[in-house]
Amino acid sequence: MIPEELLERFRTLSLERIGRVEAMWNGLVQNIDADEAARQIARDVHTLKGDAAIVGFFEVQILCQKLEDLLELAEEMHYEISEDFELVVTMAIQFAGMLLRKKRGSAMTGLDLPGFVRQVDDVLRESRALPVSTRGRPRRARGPAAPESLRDRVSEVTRQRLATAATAAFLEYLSARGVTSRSRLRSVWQTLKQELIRMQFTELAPLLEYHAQAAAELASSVGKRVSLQLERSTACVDPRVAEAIDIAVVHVMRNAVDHGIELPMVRAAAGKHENGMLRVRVAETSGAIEIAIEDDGRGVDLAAVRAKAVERGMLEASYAPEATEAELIELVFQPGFTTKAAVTELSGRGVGMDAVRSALARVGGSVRLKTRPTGTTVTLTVPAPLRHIPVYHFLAPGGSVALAVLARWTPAIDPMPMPEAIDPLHTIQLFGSSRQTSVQPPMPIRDLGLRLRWGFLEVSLRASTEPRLVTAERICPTPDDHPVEVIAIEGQETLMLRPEHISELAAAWAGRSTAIH
Amino acid sequence: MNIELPKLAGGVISAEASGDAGVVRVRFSGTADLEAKDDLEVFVKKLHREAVRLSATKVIVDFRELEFMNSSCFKIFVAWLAQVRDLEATQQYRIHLLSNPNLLWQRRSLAALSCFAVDLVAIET
Repeated sequence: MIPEELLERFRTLSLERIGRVEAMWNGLVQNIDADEAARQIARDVHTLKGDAAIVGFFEVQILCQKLEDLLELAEEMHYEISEDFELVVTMAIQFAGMLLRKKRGSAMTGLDLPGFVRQVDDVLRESRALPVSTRGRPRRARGPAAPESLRDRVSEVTRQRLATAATAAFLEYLSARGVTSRSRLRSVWQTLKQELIRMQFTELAPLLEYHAQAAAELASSVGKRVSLQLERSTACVDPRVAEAIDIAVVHVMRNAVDHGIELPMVRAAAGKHENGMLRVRVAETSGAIEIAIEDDGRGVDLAAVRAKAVERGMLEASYAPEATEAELIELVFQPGFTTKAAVTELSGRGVGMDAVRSALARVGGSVRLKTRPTGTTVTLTVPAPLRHIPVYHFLAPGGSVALAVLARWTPAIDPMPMPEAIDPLHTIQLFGSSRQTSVQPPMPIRDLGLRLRWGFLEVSLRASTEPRLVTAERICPTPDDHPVEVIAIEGQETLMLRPEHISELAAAWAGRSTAIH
Repeated sequence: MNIELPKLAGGVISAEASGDAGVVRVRFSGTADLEAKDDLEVFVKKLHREAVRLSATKVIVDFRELEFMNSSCFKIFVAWLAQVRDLEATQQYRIHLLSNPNLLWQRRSLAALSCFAVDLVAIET
């Protein structure tokens, strides 16, 4: 039996602690000294949990465990948390305070700890199901797994460094003489190439499927039923574009579920199927990808938008009756329209269509919205990835190694190479290489001069075939100032030279042991 | 039953109360955010005092037109529940929260709130 005196001391200290936790939590969500506050809260809650276990306050111990779970997840989410999340943390702190004030032996009358814990668990589950979006940190493994593309992003700089290393491995492979060395270097190159391809483009299908499933779960949690219709797509986007789509789709789908699709009984009363429909279509057009997210809910209440806009001074009352549908929809995309629109249509608390537009605009994309009384379609347009590039393809002297230069260079042929013409194989130390890196040469092998001109720059190379214009696939994009890049032409790996940096290549290879940077 | 509770008519939230036959009714509308917190706190304290003075057996709180409530404002209601729980059994009154299922914030928040006094609070939609 723990002496009452000790219990009183525990209560006093713990209530002070819980008061401190509450104050720091309030600061945290307002972004005040976030790091230090987070550490202090974690320490206090952990200490309280331990103390509570020692003195037999097991309810407090349970609650502290839940608080720790919430705080850990909040930190993972960079405190970009929902109102529900913030509220349940605040309430958990209050709940702990109430439990601490409860005198020994008194009943838990009215306090429903299991019920409250269920609410906490629900919030944890729902929050874990949300995507990382712009937060960039990996989420814990529990709950529905985010698509790999979302969990495993790397920066553009890192990708370029890996591409540079992969290119060096490819060059080493081309110049290797021993069978074992060649095989090993080929394997290294292949591994790096595969990683690069995986990082370079993000498949849209898993990302959209993930968000659609999350939306269906959200619908289910609020008593709605949603049938998903996801049209198959093989579209890929640049990772930066994928991040923008990630942000946009979360908001659009949540809005569709929160405010578009009605409760089953409401739908039934309106003569609709009890299950709402959420359809996602992806279309690839020239240079762009369109993602259409369509619901069959009640549509945007334009009258409510009009009234709210007047109330908020965003629309002149005298002009309001004349405002067109397009003008009213434009208002929905305006910052500040979010909260008040929550009970009308489209946006939830802190979740605005302006965020969708901003995210897409940052990557050169756009959003448009069409609404009717039977549903809403939001179409996101983003740039298609630049996977394919036009190049001039030719064979190096000797005819065994294929080379290319970007088609921005204008080629001219000299039947005989000029004395100053550079032998590219010599420059990249591949002379004597018998490695075939290309499709069969399209024309007889000769000793030619290839003068390349781009603006004021002019470079003369030796070649063995005339250049032909082809489309190549970028499989290992190095930075623009890197002298070489491995591309694929008709499925064959080919070295693309950047003649403007050829002298750097020569310098880099002069020492042979020096890596190409 | 003459309830003495001035109408709350702040910039973002409004509330009015009425009472008869041991039942106090209060209806909130607008948004309970930081701006509304102080007014709301005063209002809820007065509401509790009036409910006790009038020996009310039930207080019906209509949230159906309250668009949003932040965590600071929720704490006011948590404190209110604690006050009611601390009353003598004969003075305690039941609290009925009328909620709007179309307002998402109410779904989780009111359920969590009721856990503070599950024997006193009922949620109706």
